[in-house]
Amino acid sequence: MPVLTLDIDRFRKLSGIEISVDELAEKIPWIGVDLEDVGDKYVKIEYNPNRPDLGSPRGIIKAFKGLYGYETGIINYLVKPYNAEITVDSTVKDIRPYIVGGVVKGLDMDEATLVEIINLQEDLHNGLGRKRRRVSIGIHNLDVISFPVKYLGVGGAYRFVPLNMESEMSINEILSKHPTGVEYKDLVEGFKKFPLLVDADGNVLSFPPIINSEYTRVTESTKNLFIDVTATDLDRAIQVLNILMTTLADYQGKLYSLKIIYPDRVMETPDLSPSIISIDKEELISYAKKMLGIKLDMPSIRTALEKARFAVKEEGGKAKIYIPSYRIDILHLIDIVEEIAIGYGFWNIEPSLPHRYSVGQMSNKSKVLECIAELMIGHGMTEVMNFILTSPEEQFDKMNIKIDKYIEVESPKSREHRILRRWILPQLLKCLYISKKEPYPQRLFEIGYVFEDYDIDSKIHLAVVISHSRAKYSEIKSILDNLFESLKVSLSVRAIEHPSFIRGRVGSIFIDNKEAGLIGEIHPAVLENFGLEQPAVGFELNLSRFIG
Amino acid sequence: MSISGISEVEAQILKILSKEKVLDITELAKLLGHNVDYIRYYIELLKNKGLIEHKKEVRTKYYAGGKLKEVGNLPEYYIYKVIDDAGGRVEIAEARKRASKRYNLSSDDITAGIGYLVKNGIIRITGLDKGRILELNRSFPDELRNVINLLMKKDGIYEEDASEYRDIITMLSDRPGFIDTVVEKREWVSITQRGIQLSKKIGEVEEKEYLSDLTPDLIRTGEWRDKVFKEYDVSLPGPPRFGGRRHPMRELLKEIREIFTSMGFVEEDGPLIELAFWNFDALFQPQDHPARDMHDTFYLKMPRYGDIGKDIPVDKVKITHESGWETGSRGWGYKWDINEARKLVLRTHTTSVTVRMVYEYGETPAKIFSIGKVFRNESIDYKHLAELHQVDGIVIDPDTNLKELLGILKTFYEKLGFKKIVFWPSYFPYTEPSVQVSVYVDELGKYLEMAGSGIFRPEVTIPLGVKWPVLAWGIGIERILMLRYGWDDIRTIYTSDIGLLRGFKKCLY
Repeated sequence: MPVLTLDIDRFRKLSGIEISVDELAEKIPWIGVDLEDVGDKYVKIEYNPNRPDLGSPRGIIKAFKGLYGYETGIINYLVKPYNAEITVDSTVKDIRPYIVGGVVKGLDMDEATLVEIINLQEDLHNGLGRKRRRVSIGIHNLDVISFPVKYLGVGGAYRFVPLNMESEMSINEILSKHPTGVEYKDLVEGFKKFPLLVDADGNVLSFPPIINSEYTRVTESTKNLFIDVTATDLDRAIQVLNILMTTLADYQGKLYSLKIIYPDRVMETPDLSPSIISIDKEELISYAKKMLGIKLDMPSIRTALEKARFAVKEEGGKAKIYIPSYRIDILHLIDIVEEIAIGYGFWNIEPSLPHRYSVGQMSNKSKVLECIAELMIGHGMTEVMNFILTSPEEQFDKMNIKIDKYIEVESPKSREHRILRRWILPQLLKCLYISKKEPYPQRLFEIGYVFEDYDIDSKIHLAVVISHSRAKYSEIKSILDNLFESLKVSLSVRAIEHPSFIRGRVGSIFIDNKEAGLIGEIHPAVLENFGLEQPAVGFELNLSRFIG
Repeated sequence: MSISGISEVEAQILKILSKEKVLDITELAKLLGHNVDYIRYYIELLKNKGLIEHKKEVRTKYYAGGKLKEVGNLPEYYIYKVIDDAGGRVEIAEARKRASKRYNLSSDDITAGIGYLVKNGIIRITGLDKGRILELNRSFPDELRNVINLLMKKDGIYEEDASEYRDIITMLSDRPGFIDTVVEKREWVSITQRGIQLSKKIGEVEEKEYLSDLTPDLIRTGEWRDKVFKEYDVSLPGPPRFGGRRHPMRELLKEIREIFTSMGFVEEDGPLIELAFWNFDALFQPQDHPARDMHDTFYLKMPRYGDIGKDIPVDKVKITHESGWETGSRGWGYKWDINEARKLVLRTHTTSVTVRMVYEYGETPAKIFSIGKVFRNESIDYKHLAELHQVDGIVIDPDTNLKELLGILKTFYEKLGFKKIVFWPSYFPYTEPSVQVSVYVDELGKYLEMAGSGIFRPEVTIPLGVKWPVLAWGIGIERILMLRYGWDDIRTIYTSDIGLLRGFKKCLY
């Protein structure tokens, strides 16, 4: 989740609220962000991906002021037409078809503001923009641009001076040499034409979604901005533009809209008017009560929603709820109910126990496994827990066996955790190795999930290992015998050969004539592979018969 | 044996010493039937109690050497005798001849003997050159006679008992074969007056025999009645012993099971290898959601796809994702792909089990929990593991609500021993309202995030056939265990070091 550091002085300055770090830290989680860290002069928060509008101190302050009553209700964002155009060429249709944009003038710009805007842009790129694949944003110095701006596709040889460079580079060069180009080149891989934004004088503004031009660079003294948002998805582009434009308005910018002229239609962006849900008042009241368990009347609901920076207009039996254009997370009436709960104050919600009586029950499987574990404890065995993800080296190579059917995962971050275990004994031997310095005898068991061949249904195994200087087959066999005797199931063990065990001291365990496991003395070559110096005996048993 | 503070071995020592008064320690050990090192400990105890005294000494002892034993006396004695036998006066050459022949003395010994006798004025030499004669001057000295008598004794002579003959012994030491010198280290123990008094009391129960073990035979025959059991030092530690133990995580899982069953919840179970459909899609998680990325989720290489099954309302889930269907939602507004949903993953949360239960139970009031392993494609470090334990729970009920959700979670954490529990608004793609549960940890002086919870979105439950509210939560378990044992490295939980497993605190109280 994206992280935002709120400097206390900056917070006070932007909000006009005199507040201490401690008070801010105490109050801020109730707007719905996670408290990450509290310093002497700052509060660090994490905000949730459904609320990218909280990605700047301005966004946080807007929510904070609402919840704590400093400033409630919806903000009416005024947008004037700029009387300028972006024309969209048909060449972008198959590469990055959508563009929206807007103009901001008279920003209260300084270094801190610039940093906050760039951070918000980055968070939008990574979150809603899915690392620029779906949406990317260009922020430009408006004063150097002459309209109309054209959005078109060009060849790889097209040259301009990219951001942070002194001389022209071709698009192909940018993708192979410019650090940002190299980082994002996957996004335009296989493209025959590349998206480009050019102004009326032929100056390149940007090569979305890769990089802006040096020509339109924004600095701490830039007060007027042109924003472009290109995307593979128009709705998403509009969401991003709305969040950015409203935030810039919060930074005292005046907003202007642009005409976007597609080959087949014309639209004007941004449109920051709220969307409206109209609902029967009684229905809203009863739905909120049903979900929250709190009876709120219409004025209380209205107050709560206003604290969440929404607006409510009552018209007869109906309530019209106005949703700010930067709130992209309202999909359903339930989302409105959550806003009511947040505005009401989560701290006011009194926990209560479920009204309905019910009888609890542990699963049969859990009961049986608990019982088997208890039998093992009775034999003085210590329980261990290993990972289901392991390596073929440990599962097979070290056990002197060759098996090539096992379930493997894609792109594991660790080589030691790349296949699902087929059996547990190898891991118990590894435990013996880890515990070599501990007093013997060592007696271990584990009950856990394994996967056989390519079968995606897990099995549960019990594995037991005993190690000390005089560990013998008879000792482990006694435990197996006693287990079956306790469970009142008949057992037969038939001699087999198995490379993990000493020849003539290994058997296959049969239950009802079905093979269910192995028992024997671990082969000295296997002990050596695991770095063990004490003899070990063990068994591994499929417990399916007992847990159904 | 009933004298307090006196062990069996101590009593035996006192008993022996009360008779013998003083004994060499080796002698005492022999009488006790133990080796010396074994009894030292008890001697030290008795000494500290003032019941015996313990002395160590180093003594030099002289014995007759091999040659002396062979010839039976000093050359001086034989030479004197030769001269005496010859009437008190004899030629040197003749005297040497006779001494050699009669007494088997070597030439060197004869020379040394004559030299000593002359030097001490016992005989004297007269005449010149070849015609020199040995003549007795005075009688043979007693001290030489005595030294020989002492040396020839079987037990030899201590240095201190031979102090008056020191010069003679020094002289003899220079002659090979005449004296053997032995350095003796000896330890003596003797009983004190207090020891004697105490040993009398021991004597009172003396007639009974000491027993180390009670045997079935003794019980059967009743012979134990005449016996006294050897006393043990009951304060000594026993040999180390390690009983069998559950894994601490398993104990916590069991405790959590007990808490939920005590609150009326039924345990359910689900697959570890799960369809993306149940892990994500049924939970209204859009297909391009970052959590579905291979960087976070384990997908199977082989087999790659699973079978969702015919009866599952896949189409309703699809339309809900795309446009909201009849749920009253806008949907996510994208094209849903069934192949993405057919992918097999290692479940990333146990919510995959509870959402299956929403479908299986339908609109039947139910309280369900499921506990088990979940997987994340993480690099392993002190904060992260690729495999973790979770417990998810749901309440399906037409009349349940957010307050009940908070009530359940508050009770759960209180039962685990947390006192301050706080509920903050949060976000999960499949719940609304969403609530983060944090608990205050005194040791850290701050709140820690413990669980995510909420009410399943209508987009989750309605396609699965449930219009009722469904409360839902997912609780991480490792963190609870770490707080419990004060571990700050999550890997500690699964080190499988038997030392740790044998040693962790049990029966937390």
